[in-house]
Amino acid sequence: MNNTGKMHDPKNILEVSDLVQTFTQPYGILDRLTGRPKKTVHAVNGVSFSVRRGEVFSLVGESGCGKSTTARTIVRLLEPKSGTLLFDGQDITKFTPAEMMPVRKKMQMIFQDPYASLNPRQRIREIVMEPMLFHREAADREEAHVKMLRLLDIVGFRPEQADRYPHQFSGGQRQRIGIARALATNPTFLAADEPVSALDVSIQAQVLNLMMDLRDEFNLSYLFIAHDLSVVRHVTERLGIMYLGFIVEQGERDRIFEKPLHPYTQALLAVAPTLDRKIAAVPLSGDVPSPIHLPVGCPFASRCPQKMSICETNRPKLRILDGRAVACHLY
Amino acid sequence: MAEYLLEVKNLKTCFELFRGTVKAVDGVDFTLKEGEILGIVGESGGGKSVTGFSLLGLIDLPGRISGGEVFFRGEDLLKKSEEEMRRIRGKEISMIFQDPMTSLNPLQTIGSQIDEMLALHTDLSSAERKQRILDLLTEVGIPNPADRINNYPHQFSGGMRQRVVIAIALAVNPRLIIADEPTTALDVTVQAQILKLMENLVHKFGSALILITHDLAVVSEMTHRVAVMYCGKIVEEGPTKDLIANPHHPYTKGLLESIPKMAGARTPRLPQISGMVPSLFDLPKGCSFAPRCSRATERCLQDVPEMRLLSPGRKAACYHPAGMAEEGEGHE
Repeated sequence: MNNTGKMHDPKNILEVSDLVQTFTQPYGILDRLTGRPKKTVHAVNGVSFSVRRGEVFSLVGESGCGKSTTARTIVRLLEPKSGTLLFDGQDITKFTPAEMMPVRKKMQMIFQDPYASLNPRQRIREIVMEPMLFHREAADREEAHVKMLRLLDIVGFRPEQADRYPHQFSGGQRQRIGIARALATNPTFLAADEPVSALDVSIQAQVLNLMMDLRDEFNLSYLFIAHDLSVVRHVTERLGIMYLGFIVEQGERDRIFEKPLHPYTQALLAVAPTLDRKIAAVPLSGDVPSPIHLPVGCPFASRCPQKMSICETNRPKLRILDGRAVACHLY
Repeated sequence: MAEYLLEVKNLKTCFELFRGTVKAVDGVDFTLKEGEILGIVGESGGGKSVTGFSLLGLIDLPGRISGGEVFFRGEDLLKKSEEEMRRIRGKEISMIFQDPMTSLNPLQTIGSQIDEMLALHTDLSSAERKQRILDLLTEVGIPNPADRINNYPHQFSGGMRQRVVIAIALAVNPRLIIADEPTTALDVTVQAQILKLMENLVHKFGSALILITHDLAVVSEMTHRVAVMYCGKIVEEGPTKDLIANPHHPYTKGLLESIPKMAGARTPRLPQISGMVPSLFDLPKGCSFAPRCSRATERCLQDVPEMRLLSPGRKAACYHPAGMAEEGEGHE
């Protein structure tokens, strides 16, 4: 799973290898005078995975684990520090903005917050038509208008609603507008960053069902970013579990949900509240370490109930075991 | 009257806005015994938070409590003066808010924020208060409390801040704690820590707890009884386990079904409740849920169903409840 690097597999729409992303905090004159060391946040630390055509691949983890940064780096909203991104067989890692243009048409993003991701001053029809016209997906405004109405119909709006503004819609409706906008350029790949976490449960089900219907209809592949394990279990075929910028376990859904191997995955699954059982497990103690000073050894060592001495000093690598990849010294 | 710690009767809170009057809480009844944990669940706009705030009289203009009674230890809180309420808030009834990032004062050390509560409601000396603060911080699981007492909120993580908020809420051992989405802003592993902590402390201190949340899974984890709210009304109420296993109100049933499951077979599509929550400015004439309900009949569109006893301990406001033994399911 982590030896994708060299050979491109045509079954994959996206191949990510050894992706690294860091952020350096602003370093002002006062910092220089006082000789304060530069602070670098290591957000993503060598992440490798692939998304197959027509598949949903999920990245799961808690806040600050680097899942959203990974998604943003893949669609090149952020420049990768190192690593390679193969999209549809093309190495897009070093693409210039001009070279990215035709690629962007094919990879679109759905954002978490439906209140912040739509321009409040644009009518819905403008929001959906703009990417079509920008990317020349429609020859003129007439054609764009027809396509826009068709897209709105697909995501469940009536034609007269196209003239309204975002504030006239509820959260779930706005998220559907965001989905229509993402589909406007006829993409093959969608990165969805927590698309339902801001929505109420009954609306969440509507949006998830819509996303899955669209996958079949438009033959889409999804990179799905989420923290809610029950949602992930519902939508995904394969998943990677992230902690402190590392993928600690990765593989097929059923393997991982039925028999998680990494202690972090085990803890996540054990403490996720469900309707049908009471949490028996003792929850993990402590907090996630700072991504500024990464631990030398296993990123999870400070909270791991099964920590050994080697975990403090050696960082485990992902190894294939029981049909999935896991980075842990226990195995 | 002493049978219940809290008895809420026909509570009504409305907001008078330019566009019209919104009945955010519209005739809510429930009771709470000493030491009991009650969950109030529902989606945004259901009125669950406003219910919590109303109990403490924390409703600001343009909102007002327009009717009902809130008996706490036999006395009606709605008849109390602001001065009397200030002595009850924090001491007898305290509140834990959703967002630990904003419910602490960023300019005060956490020690002084807990101390404020103790100074206001107890006669302890300064040294005794300090000891009590250290005990409380230990109780809520903050490591090295002596070092952390002079820290500011920004020096704590989200989970740790929520622990501080809980310490403040528990400081003078209130009889009732109202927790409004206490873990919604937290990560799953931290949420599990906080829920466990709250459950243990409520048990240990013998306080009653009202847990307001949108998350039915959290409710099933923690509570003895649950009330489901929709559009300002309680539509179903009962013992948690029973209600989740066999919901009577179609809204509760729909909510439960639309949550993806963590085990068992996966369905390709999630069962969903069609449509969306109606605007509170423009509620339907009959049952508020009728336009989205698959069991609705002509009567549901005309009359508002009252809460009625359906089986021992189980009440729902529905003309065509689901999961009833004798009536059967063929009731469409």
